Amino acid sequence: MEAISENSIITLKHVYKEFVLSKTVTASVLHDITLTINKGELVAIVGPSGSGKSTLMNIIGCLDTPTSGTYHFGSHNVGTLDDDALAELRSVAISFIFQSFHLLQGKTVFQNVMLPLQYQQGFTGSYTERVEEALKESALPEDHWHHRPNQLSGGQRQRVAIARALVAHPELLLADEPTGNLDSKTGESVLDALTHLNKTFGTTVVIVTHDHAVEKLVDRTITIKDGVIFE
Amino acid sequence: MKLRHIIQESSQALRANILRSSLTIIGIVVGIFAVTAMLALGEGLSQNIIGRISSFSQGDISVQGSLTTQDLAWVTEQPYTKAAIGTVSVSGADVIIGGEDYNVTVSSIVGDFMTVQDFSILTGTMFDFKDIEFREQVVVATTDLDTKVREDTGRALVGQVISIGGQQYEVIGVVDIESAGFSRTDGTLYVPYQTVLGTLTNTSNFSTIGVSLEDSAFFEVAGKHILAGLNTSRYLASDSEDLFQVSTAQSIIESAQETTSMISLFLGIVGGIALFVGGIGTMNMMLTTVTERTKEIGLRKAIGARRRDILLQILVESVFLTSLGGIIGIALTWILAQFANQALSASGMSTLSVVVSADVVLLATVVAVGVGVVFGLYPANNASKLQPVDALRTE
Ligand SMILES: Nc1ncnc2c1ncn2[C@@H]1O[C@H](COP(=O)(O)OP(=O)(O)OP(=O)(O)O)[C@@H](O)[C@H]1O
Ligand SMILES: [Mg+2]
Repeated sequence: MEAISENSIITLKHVYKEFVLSKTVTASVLHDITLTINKGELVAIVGPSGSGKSTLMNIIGCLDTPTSGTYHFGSHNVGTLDDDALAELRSVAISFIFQSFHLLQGKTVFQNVMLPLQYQQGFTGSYTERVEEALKESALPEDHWHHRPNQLSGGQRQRVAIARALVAHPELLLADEPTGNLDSKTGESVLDALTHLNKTFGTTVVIVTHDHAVEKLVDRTITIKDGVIFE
Repeated sequence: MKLRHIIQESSQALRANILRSSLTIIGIVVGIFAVTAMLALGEGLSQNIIGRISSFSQGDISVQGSLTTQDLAWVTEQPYTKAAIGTVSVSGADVIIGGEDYNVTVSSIVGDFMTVQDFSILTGTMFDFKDIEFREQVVVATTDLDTKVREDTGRALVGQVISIGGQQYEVIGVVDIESAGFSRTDGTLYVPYQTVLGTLTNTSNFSTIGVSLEDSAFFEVAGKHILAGLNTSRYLASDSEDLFQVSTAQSIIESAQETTSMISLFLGIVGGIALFVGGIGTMNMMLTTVTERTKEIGLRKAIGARRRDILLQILVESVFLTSLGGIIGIALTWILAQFANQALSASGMSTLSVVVSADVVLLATVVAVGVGVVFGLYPANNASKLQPVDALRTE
């Protein structure tokens, strides 16, 4: 077995993903994906709808597991980790930004952003300081911090989601069509925020997108078609 | 996640669904109310039984009926009899103490009452055979009468000369028992049988014979034998209860216990059913919220929640609901107990009461929390097992 490079944060080898739809029907979504992404890279994954982008992102983000093949996150062989260890990875090392924001409606912006810290086992610092820092970084105006998500515009909501992704200081940030629900101008500013993060903190950022404009911003574009990747 | 945060999450979730939460609580409130009411009533009744038994001061066996001095002599002769007394209750005699009218039960007694009634003398003396033979005008009072008189007049009863049915009697002692359970009197006065024969009482017959046994364990055999003996002397069937009724302290305890346990059983069943229904209601609500919040749970897992974080959150919500229901149920019992006790004492049944003890409160709290845990566990476990990808995909 090949050694895992010290530089790589994501190492997929011969990854397949199938969904069992019924006893007789399985949908084969990812085929023999072998892919390495290095620490600090800014990567775009593009491809037509239904090609398997979200499926791949979920595997990379430890939300789902491959049907076969191996996935190493850093030096961890994800396939060998139990539920709690995966939760731990998602808690401290990986953050998500979703197309549909996924903010909790019952909580204020501030409380939404604090949530990942509350799930961090060993967190000892000041919750408030970290949340304020993340909200400032995501450039959400301060007078909105104690509003509920439904009192915000789509762009503002996505900034809250970015702040929530930042607050844990993750090594890897995964954004699945973060601009999909936004107009092009707002979308651009969200993308700016993500590139800014990548440049300032060296966070590895993977963006799934339909938007070809993104390709100009990133270091590297991975194309996926019918579950097969091309670079 | 820290417990403090889990509690915050749970209360936030419950507040977001005030109406549903309140409706769910009702079942638990009713259940806990029924259970605590059962226990409070049971406690009150058993205290009342103890009260009644201590006032059952007729030794091991008590015979009711129109009984002659020969009957008393016969009973006293029996080998199992340690001591026996005959009593006649004096009715309609006005009792005046220090110029005030008192509502007092007057009982004339003969025989070895110190043994049978298990008195002990608090102050003064008990009358002895000399008093009886010389028909001394002496009486002995119960403590409750003594207390009442002290409160009213500031004077101790012993040494006072009081009037019973227009005749003068000297109070020579106070004994340490209170008057019988349900009687609404200020107390009891005991007078020597011979003294009042023909004055306060116009019959030489006793209304009760109290028997103290050599061995109380034989109350049943002895009771039957006494009844048979009395009936035979009247040419009646030996087990007839037409003229004489025999009761034992034991039989009174048993019948009282039977009543209480019937009432307790009934309330227990009602409470149990209500709690079960309430528990199912809670489970139903928790299952519904878990389904509704599938996406939220997926999101929580995606940002780092472990299985036990989710499990605890749902469990705390469930326990929160049932505990709140429990607290309201206990409060309801307590409030109703105050009303019930007021009503009981207003109607003169002050010895009967509803007692909400600390034990009852503690037990009800434990039960409420337990119901929350038991019925919350299944929904909580379901929630904790949700796979983040699947949960996030739900619409
Ligand atoms: N849990 C699942 N069960 C069954 N089929 C699934 C599941 N998840 C994804 N699929 C299938 O896998 C294929 C790829 O889905 P995926 O969501 O990865 O596409 P995508 O590239 O993200 O598309 P889009 O750009 O529209 O978001 C689709 O055909 C979809 O139906
Ligand atoms: Mg997708």
